[in-house]
Amino acid sequence: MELSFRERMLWGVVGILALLATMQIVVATGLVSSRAMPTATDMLLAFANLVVSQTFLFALAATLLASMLAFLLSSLVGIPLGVVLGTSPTAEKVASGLIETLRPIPAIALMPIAILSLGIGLEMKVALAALAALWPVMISTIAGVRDTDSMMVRAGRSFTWGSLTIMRKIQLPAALPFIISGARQSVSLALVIVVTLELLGAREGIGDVIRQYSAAGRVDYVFAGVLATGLLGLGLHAVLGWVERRLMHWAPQYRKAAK
Amino acid sequence: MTTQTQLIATQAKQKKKRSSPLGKVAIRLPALVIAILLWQLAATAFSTPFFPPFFSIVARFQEDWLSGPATQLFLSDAFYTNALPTIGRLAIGWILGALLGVTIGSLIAYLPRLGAALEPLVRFGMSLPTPALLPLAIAFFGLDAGGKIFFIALGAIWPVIVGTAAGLRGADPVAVSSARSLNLSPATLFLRVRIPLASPQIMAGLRVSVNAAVLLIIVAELYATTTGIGFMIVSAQRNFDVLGTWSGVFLLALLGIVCNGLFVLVERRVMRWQIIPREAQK
Repeated sequence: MELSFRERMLWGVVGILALLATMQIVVATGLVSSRAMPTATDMLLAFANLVVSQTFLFALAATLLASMLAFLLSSLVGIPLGVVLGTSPTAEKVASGLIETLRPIPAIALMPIAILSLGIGLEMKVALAALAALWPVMISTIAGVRDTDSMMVRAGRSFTWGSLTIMRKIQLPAALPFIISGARQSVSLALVIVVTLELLGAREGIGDVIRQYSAAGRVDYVFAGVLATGLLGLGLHAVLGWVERRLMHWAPQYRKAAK
Repeated sequence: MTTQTQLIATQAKQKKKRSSPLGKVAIRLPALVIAILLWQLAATAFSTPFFPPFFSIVARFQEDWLSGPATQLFLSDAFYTNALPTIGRLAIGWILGALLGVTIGSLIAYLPRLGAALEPLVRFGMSLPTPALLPLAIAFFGLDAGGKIFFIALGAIWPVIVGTAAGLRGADPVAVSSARSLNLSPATLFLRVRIPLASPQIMAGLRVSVNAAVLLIIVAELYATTTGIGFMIVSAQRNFDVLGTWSGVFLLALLGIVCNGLFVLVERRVMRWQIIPREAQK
């Protein structure tokens, strides 16, 4: 019992409307206090005001800048490290003790130290978000390089290519689908960490805006801010998915999926 | 054919792995030890105020959290008053989120129209940086335990919903119809056939949700709290008590490591019956 695309869209719209109507009714009838939740109309009005305001646009720019810088930093470190660890099984085994211990440590836990040493500005956000974003891109690079078809590597050797040429012409392209999907996770994670740090007191950014409205008790703007943040996340997912498909249309993994 | 080769390869790999658990530790431990020694040496040599030597932090950690008498399992009073409530909230919030997630995910898989209606919300929840829900949870439930538990459940629920729905929908139709031909009751079919078939994806969702829950409890702890680990850290940080801050950060880091490790252990135990182990699916 599969629904057609049109039916799914239709039901999706029904779902959104039902959710908004519920919000409207429970708040308007006083079932939920208007200090805890805005009515749907108030939230949407606040949203419309928020997304065109200069404060929000500046905050958006600050958040995106910090996330992108963090992502670039994590790729600059993570991809080369991943290539090294992916080509040498011994190095990977030796490093795995360190990686498996450090990876489950949430980067946010280091925030108090980072505030002491780096302050509450851009540097702190970039440092912590880059640390969090390092793992996905590095680990998928390791997996990708290790997964390279050994026949291709041997073919490269029979061309008397050096290991650097083999890396550039065979291993990196073969690992690219993995690296791209890891990079995608890293970008999302960097955004999450940056917004979180802003919520917890870092200067500037969307999280900072939400925190200020929260302190002022403006639930309509808090909900509008959360809505905007979620839509930003959705937009980012869509853009990254599109980039991934554009870049990877030649790769066998993606060709299979397209059929 | 390929799956069979993969299977044999994995089994061989597993045999190789199982044969030397000591060797595994022996090759992994040195990097950790060297990293710790490097930290210790660098911090002693350059003595920066913010990065104290590793063993000074460990000593402070022990004093803060592990200085209790044997009757308290060596855990200090500060651990019981500040850390235990945090861990309790994390556990309750995550379990609540996981149970609700499996329930909603199952409903979505069985009722396609409901699934389509909820899809925008679920997608929104999956791509929302969930810590942004904190001000919302606080507006709803206040700053106390209730707000934090609600916040963790709300943040941990999404990957479980998605994993459960995908796992139930993607179940091998042959397995399901052959189970159906045994004339099982719907409840037995669901609990004994469908849920086990979906379990790899449910587990994957739960795994993501554990990490999310740990992140969220730390966020909740650091956001305007009056008790708990976060409060100790923030007050140490305000007094420029660097060792005290590090000691709290170590406890949070340890919380992340332990939760992750526990989940891996449980996952291995629960998924032992699987023909193709998790490692091979990647």
